[in-house]
Amino acid sequence: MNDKTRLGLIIILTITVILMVIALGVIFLIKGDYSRVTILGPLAIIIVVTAAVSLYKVYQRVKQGFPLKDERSKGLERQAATWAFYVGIYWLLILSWLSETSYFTAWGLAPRHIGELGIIGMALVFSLAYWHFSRRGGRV
Amino acid sequence: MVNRIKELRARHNLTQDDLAKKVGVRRETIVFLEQGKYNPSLQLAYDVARVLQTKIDDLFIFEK
Repeated sequence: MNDKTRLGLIIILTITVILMVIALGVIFLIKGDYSRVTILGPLAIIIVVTAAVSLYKVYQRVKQGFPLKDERSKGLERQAATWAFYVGIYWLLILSWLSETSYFTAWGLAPRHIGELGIIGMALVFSLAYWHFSRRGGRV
Repeated sequence: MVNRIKELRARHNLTQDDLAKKVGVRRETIVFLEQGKYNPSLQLAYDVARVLQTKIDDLFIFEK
């Protein structure tokens, strides 16, 4: 599969995810589940906007004839994914523990939100780790 | 590890974009290579040396 085909698939996938996020937000609003929209909504918007900007930059790069990925970016992805995995485990443990306390419900959250918060947390850790290791340099 | 990529690239009248495209990597990779902030794989080191018509030993100077 060449870079342009791969990028096309990534764009389709990203647009699908963005549409799903918007649809979920609308469903939550209709159902009157405002806590999900007010707490998770801004986080989801930050992630979606970051993804859209990154994708646009990648599109410009591929259009200019540069590869979609190279050995450095693949290394960065591996490093960021490892961090997201390990931090994600602790994040889910913390969320599980918090869900048993009164803090969770005080913020308008319910145990059913653990999955959503877990995914958003892992996505944020991945993005931050990628940015950090990209700036730091060294062998990746 | 220091390298002479910037010097040899200038000698061949290549921009970072040109070198990146010839080697098949992103431009940031060339930027980090030149700054000595990224240690390339042997394959990439060989490819850069080949494009700049030199040997790996002459391009990358290993310091203990």
